Amino acid sequence: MNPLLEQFLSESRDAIQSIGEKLLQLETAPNDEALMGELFRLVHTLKGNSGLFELPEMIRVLHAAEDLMDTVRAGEASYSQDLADQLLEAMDFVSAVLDEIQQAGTDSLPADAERSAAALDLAGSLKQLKPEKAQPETLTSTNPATDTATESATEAAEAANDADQDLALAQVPEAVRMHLFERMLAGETFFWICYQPEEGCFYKGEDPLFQIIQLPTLAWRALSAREPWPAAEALDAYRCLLRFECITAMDREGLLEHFRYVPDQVQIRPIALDDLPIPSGAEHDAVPVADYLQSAMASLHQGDLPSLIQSSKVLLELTAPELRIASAMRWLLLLLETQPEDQRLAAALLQRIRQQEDPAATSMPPTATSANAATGVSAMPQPESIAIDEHLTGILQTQAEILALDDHPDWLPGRLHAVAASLRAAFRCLGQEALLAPLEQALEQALEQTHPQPLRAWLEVNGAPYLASAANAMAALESQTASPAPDDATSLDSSPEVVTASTPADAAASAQPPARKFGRRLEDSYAAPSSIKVDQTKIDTMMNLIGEMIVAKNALPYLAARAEKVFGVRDLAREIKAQYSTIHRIADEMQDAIMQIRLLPVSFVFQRFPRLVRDTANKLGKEVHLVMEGESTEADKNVIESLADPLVHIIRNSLDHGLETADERRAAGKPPTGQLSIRARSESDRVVIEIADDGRGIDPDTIRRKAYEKGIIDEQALERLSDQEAVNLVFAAGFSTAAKVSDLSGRGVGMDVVRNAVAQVNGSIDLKSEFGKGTRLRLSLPLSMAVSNVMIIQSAGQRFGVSMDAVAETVRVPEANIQLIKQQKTTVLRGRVMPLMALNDLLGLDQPQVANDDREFAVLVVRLEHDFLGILVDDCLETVDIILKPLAGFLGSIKGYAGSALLGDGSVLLVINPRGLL
Amino acid sequence: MKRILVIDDAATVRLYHREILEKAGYQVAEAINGLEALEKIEEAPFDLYLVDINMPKLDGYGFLRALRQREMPQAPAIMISTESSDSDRQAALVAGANLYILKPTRPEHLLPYVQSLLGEWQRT
Amino acid sequence: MGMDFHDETVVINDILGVEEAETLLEWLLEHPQAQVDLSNCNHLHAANLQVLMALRPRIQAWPDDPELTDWLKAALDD
Repeated sequence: MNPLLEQFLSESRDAIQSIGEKLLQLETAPNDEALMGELFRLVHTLKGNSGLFELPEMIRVLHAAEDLMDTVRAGEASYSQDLADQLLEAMDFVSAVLDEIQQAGTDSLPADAERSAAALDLAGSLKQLKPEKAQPETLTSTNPATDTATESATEAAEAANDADQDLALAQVPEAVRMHLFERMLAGETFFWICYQPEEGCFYKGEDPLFQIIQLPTLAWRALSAREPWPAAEALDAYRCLLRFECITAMDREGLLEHFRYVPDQVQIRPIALDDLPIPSGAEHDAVPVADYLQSAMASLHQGDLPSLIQSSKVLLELTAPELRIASAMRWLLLLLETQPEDQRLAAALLQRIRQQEDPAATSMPPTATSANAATGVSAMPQPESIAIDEHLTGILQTQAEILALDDHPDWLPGRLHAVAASLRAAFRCLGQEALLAPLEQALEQALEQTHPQPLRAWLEVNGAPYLASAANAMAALESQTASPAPDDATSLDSSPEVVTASTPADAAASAQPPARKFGRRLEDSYAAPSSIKVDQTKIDTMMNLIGEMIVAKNALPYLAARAEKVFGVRDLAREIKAQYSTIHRIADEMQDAIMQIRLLPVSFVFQRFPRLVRDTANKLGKEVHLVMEGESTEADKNVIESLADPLVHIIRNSLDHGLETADERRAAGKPPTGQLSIRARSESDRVVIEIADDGRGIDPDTIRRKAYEKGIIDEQALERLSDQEAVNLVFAAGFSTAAKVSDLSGRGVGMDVVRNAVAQVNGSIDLKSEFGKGTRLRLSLPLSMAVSNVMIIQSAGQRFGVSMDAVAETVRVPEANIQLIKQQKTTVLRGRVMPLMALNDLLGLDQPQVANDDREFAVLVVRLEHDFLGILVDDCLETVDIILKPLAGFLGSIKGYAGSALLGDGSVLLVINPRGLL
Repeated sequence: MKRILVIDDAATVRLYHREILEKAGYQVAEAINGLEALEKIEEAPFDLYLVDINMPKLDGYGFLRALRQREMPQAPAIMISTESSDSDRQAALVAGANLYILKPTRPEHLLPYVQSLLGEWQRT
Repeated sequence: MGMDFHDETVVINDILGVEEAETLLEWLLEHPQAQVDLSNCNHLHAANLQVLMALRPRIQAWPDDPELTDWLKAALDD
């Protein structure tokens, strides 16, 4: 994965975490503006970051979230539970996408219908929470490219100017449009589709042609290239430049479903009746339409349809059929014929004809469909214009705008200097170094007068040729904005653009004091964390290295012994020993320091509980007060991480089965709000976590009965079991106390899974419950899993290690004291019968265990939960501290071994996992 | 080598711009907000500033106003924003920006502006 | 499957996959006067369509499938 993507994932996860926290804080302080501001900033940053990658769904959701937060922050919408829920859900979605990216190792995720649908849904629900704005945004003040990219294609389409569609439909042959018109009058509906597959779509296994061919009932279709094809030799067959357009009778749902993988590459627009009557054809300048128009409008106004039809037919006769005016007449006649009652369309068409065919008669500017707007502008007297590249134009244009500002801030001199620096650079790029000296003079004058005028004058003279060509482009662009060309309207490409206001004068006129913004944004406060982030693998590498160093260090005493015994140099041996003790101390401290790095506070896991408890309690309709203590208690990262799932399960259990509803609680004489506490603390070298509730507790009798029903215990045990022993049966495999499987905890995962997960990190779990009063679970875990104290044992001539955590004691059992009960070797240890198993049998080694000279066997007494098991070995040797490495590769799946470790003499010790052996 | 200061509170965005600019042969320094940026320019002025708007402690506008009030060589500043409205752009120019660009900035769009404002751009 | 190249004609059979686009492009570049016979073609990947659109060889025969032909003619028929 590239560093940028890694950075993105890590920063996004942090942001999501903080967003969750802020939302929960807002729940208690919904009017805290600082909190709100920070929340907005977090969402904003998250969105900004996603924009750097190809993550359309994520951006869509975040854009909607940001929008919503902006209205909340501005006080246009208020914070609500519903809003928090939606935002949290949105963050869950973003998290899921991040997980996908993490797994795929790339930001170009394959299209996924579920993901797109979820994104659309979420964005939709977020949008619904936003209050309707009274004043619609005008087309000129927004950048259509960014808008369409971030909103769903459908919405963008619906918001779009009608003019877009005119242009798209103008290319449809008149006969087809007339046919559609008649079918629509008969009640059919049609959609216009523009599908522009992204350039890299072929690499994602997409075949846009196949996609579009599957669309049924097409009334019209067009296939073109988004940009001119490059020269044949330079053609890249795999860079998709296709644009598919068609008109279909398929309904909107069907279309959305059909394009569900590529919603952002498709525009779907309903066709309205008045979209269709577009006169098309060649222009003319010889037909006298002015008279016709005058009488036609009068006729229409008076409702004199016969004479309107008459004069229209005459004009149609007079003109060649391929002329645009003839087309207009055909449409007008069709409208009058099919809709004699409703003359709005006919009136609109006449208006249009007037604009197109007789522009002199109207003060309205010609639309892009008719006259050539650019020609009109360039016909005006212009200074000699020199075309330059758009970014230089942008820079010059912007400097002109800055110089046109008529404010006088304290920083005007600095601004003038900066403008001069920008102009200097730009003119150097233009190869106009000769102009730089006058520029310096202009700057000096401007500074003297503390007024931009001298610089403005310089730029007006020297920038004119470049700005003139820019002005042309601007004018053309403006007329396009009023009635955008199809390319612009249909483009969903989100290429960033320099935003240039129309002209300096306009910009100054539209200047608004941004005071509101300054005040608020400056107040946003945020505490930067003082820690640095390090990839876990780097720490693991360090951990491995220090492990190897400790092993390597342990070779020094051997070396000293060899120096003395083999080579007979005692002084050298002593020096080696002295060096060894120094290295030994440093290595120990180093190991300790690295372990410290790996320590994480339990809050790492605890932080998600407030939300979990809140959501779960809401779902269950229970009132729960959560108390958390000792969140700063630290333990090794692996231990902490292994805690997460068991704890979540325990909490769900508590909420689901333990705590009662408010009514039940009142009936039982308890306060209506249940109490759930999660407390962490350190106890010597262990971390203890207690989860307690004051719910209904566990009824030992119910447990006994259930356990008996499920065949977990027999009749004898049913009577013999103490209440505490009965309660502990919930940990038995296959036991689930829930009467009905609930949505929350009853997922076929029982407490046995929790117990196993805890045992895997050498932890233990302890359950106390008082029926009617509550339940308390106590987890005890080692602080660190990195260094293990193991006992070395010998069996079948090999050495093995066993974790001391698993070893209760070692005893020697005389052969005579071993009895066979039902084929099972047993012995009696301190009055209790203990089963015995031979390690060689467990490991599948075909050798009998060896007793010592006194006919005694070495027995490792292993604790398995509440039972003891004796493992027969040949001999128990010393205990050592080792750094346990899990077995790699396919060996890792062998359950009998916990891992391996290097010993000081360089040999490898396999460490047995007694639980896995059975 | 020309020095550029990238000011953005989002580490991802900083890294993104750093990669683009370093690949183009510039020396890049970073600041996580306006205040830190002001500290950085105390040490030595830069040849160009890339400024985000919305940042904690001191936002992009605040930074630009403060920068332009300093008695020091003034270099061009590009404000990089997600807001496409005229009023946001206007506010940036008032505060002291010399160019206003929309996020996300693709290298092929950003670099010509950077190079032009450094007087190094050549038509290809 | 795929394509059969004759002197100045390429015959497209059944389905022409995305991976053939490069081959088609190269052959058409070497044979600027070539014609394309699509009568046996049941589908061609959009990448191949792009090649045909950019190089505009003469289409000797259209596919049997009316839907496919309609789309191809929208792009290739003058």
